[in-house]
Amino acid sequence: MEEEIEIKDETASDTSLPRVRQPRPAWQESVLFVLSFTLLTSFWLVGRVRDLKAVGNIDFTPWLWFFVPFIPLAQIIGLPRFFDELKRREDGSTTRQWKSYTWAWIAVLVVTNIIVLTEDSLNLPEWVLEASLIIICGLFALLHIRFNNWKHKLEKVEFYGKASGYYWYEWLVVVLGSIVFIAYIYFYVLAPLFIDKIQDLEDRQVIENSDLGFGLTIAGDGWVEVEAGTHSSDETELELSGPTLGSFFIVFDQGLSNSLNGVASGRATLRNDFSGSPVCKENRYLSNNEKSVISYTECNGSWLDEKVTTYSTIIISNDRTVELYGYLMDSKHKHARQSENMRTIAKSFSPL
Amino acid sequence: MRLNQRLLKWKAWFAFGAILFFSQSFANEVKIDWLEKSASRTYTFAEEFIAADDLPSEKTTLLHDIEIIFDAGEVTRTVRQVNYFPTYNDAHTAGNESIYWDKEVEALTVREARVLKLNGQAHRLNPDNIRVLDSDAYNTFTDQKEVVLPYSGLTDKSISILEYQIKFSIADLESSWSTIIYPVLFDPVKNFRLRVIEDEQTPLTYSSNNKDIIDCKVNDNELECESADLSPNKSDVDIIWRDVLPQIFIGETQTWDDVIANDLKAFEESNNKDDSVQKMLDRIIDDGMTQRQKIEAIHKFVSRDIRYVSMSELGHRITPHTSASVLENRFGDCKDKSAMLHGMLSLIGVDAKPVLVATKRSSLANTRFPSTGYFDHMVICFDSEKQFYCLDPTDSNTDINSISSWIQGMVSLTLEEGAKPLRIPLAPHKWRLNVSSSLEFDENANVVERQERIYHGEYASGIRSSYGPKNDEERNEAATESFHKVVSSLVDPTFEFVGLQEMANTAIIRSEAKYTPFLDPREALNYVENDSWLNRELDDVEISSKHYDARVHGIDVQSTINFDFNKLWNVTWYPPNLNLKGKYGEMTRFVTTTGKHKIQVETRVKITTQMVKQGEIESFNEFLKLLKGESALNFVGETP
Repeated sequence: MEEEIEIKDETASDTSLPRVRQPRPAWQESVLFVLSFTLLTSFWLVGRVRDLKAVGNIDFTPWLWFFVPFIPLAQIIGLPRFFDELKRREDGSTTRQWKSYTWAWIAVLVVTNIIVLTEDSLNLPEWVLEASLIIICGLFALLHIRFNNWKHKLEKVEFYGKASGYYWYEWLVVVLGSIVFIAYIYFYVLAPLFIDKIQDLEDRQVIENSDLGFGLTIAGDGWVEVEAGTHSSDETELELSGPTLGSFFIVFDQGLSNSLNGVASGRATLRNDFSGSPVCKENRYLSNNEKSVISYTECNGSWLDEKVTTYSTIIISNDRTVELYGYLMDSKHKHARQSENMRTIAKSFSPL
Repeated sequence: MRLNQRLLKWKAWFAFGAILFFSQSFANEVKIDWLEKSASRTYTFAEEFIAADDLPSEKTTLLHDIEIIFDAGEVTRTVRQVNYFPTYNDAHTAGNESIYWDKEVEALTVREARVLKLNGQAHRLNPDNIRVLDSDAYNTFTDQKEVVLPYSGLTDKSISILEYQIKFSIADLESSWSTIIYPVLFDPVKNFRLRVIEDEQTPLTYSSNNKDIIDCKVNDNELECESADLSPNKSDVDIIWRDVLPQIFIGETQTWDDVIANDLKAFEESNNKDDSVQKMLDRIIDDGMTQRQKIEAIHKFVSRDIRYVSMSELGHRITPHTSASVLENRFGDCKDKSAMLHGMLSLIGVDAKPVLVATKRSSLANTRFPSTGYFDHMVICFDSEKQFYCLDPTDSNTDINSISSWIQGMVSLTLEEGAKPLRIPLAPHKWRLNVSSSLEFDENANVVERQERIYHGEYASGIRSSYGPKNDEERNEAATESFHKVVSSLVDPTFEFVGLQEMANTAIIRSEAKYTPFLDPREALNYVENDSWLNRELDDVEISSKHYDARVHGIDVQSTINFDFNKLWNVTWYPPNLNLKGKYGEMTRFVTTTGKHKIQVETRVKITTQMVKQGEIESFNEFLKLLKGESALNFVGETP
């Protein structure tokens, strides 16, 4: 005899009251917005649309709202309706209204979203992006408070879930986002604080090393001479940190026995800096004093989603082979801007 | 005592007899007229030197004294030369003295030729040992002989003493008189003295190119130059010595137009447009030929069908033989051949000019005083159909588009009123070479190498001159030897030669060689192939001189090498593109992959003809070293 299985229909509960998500603490939501780099706002908005839809019948399709937090046009079209529906329900529940602040909220969200989407191509400072993300988190935290207020005043609704409960996919976003966030904080905030800076370098500043007989000229702002070992575990002669985290130069003394061909072929066939196969091109030209040949190799490829370029300028000076190795990893637009300066620096590397 | 006296008397008679005998023997050759010891200033000078304490440690010219006296059109040139030989090496290498003498117009008298030892012993030159040799007979406007005086008894710590006189009459000369004195050559000179006395009939002009070391004074009709303790000229290679040596020019006062008029008058003696020339011309050319083809045919005839024979006997120092006689004999010297070429070109309407060339001078500064004496060669230059030609009728290998390599940059004088000395144009890139090679690996890593070398212009002429006269066997041997030196001694290639007999603009050498595997196809590829012929050209253009400015003759070498690795390796790194452009020249390279395992390397080196200052020679050679370093083609790869 088979065991009888009871099938419980949660939607068709015994009361048939509208089901609304249990309000969650605003601080907790805010932290998760930040940790997930605002990605959680998409899930949050889908949930809140479901809440609105549960309380009053509206023709919103909740999953479509997933895209609204990062599409400004969708924000302009969708959010006024969203706020209208929210307002209508708030009126019914006598919740305190935002009145004209609603439009300010939408406007700030649209602007900050545009900034986030275009900061790469607008060459805005890094802090503008960071501030925009914080503002977006803040906007959604405010909205969350408003929703919480509304929910607290709701009657004849059934709250489901725990106040601290999240779906598995929300946790996935949060956990992954947290890893990225921690890495971001480490590389962009903490690591620069611990770099052993030797000196700030100015645009067109000349650096010379008479022992190894080389010189180079800085191009662009934000370059810093740092202690050997900052960007390499090898013994190096000079290390420079660039204006962006993924840009640096290292000078290697390749010694007496390494030939130009030996070093150049080794560098061009090295694939460690790329996730795929880079395209490398080597050119050779005479130094300004016409007493030595300079090998210049540029390899272009990618590392995950970022564009990567390596620069290798090799000279023979004082009978030694000396190499300036440069590395640049950045998003496409920032890479394009930075690479020109790095190429200029790499090509300025020459014997004294 | 009596015995001694008798012996001395007998010796004196014997000596007198011997002198008489040898004087007779050399009556038409070298006249000997020994001076008494006491009358010889040279001997006295040497004796005084021996008495001094500070003997030099290197071979030294103790006295170099020249006296030229003009008297009623007669010229007497007295030369006194005293040399000290401190070591046996000096005695071995420089123990003979030479006098250059035009025996048909000059009378040479040796007045003293003796070796004096430090201990007082003396050995007079045995006239029997005097040898008269033909001096360089190629390209000369004189019939000068070299009189060689082998000193007897010359050992280390010896002094050679020489005094001789050359007498001639100005009236016997075909062109005006001039001479160039080199006060110092390659030994230190303790005392130099030059004294010239002119007469009213022969006003003279003089010039010194180095007034810092030679002090000259002119008093009325007398020039006197003196100097002491002159350092030797630094020895060097690839140098035109007459451009760099200190020198004093003395010559009859005249203008370049005087020189040109005199030489043109002599040139016209050839009667180079007579019937015999016209008849020969009619056989060489036909009406169907273009003007250029006619010029080519005429040049080929004169350079190849008339042999070169030096013919500057008396009366023909600067005057060509008649063209009829040259045609009859089918030989002649540069003047004769130039006159023939000039005549034939004139008959086809070309306004050609005879041009004198100084084949051992490129400095215009050192040839600024008018004289025929600088020149030793003649060519024909002209414009035709907007192209400039300078044809050397003694050169049977160079096509008409190029100027003979050996006269480029040399001082020349066009025999045309109003002309002044100029340099024969220098080709910007005298040595032009295209090399196409292919290296094909088979599945077992055997390699077939095919090469084609195309030499252009002057270079083609050089190749023609080296390989043309050889038979097939000799030619293959020479080409193999060259291949072994330049490319590889591992194989003996087969050769094919094209254009060695024609006077064409190109000469081609093709070769094919098969190498057994020199790379292991089971191992990763790390292969270096030298761009050998390009490398060799870079070697050749290196300057060996150290002490003087050096002329570099330009090179333009294009090399294309096609590598086919035949799936044996995946090549991961190959030679980079090059753009090495500097003030001395350039080397460019373009590398393209022509297939999955095929790579083409195109390299070009251009170094333009230039004068490199002495202080820049090291930089120039360092530049070449850089280019040579880049001529090694390096390939890195993995096995599939």
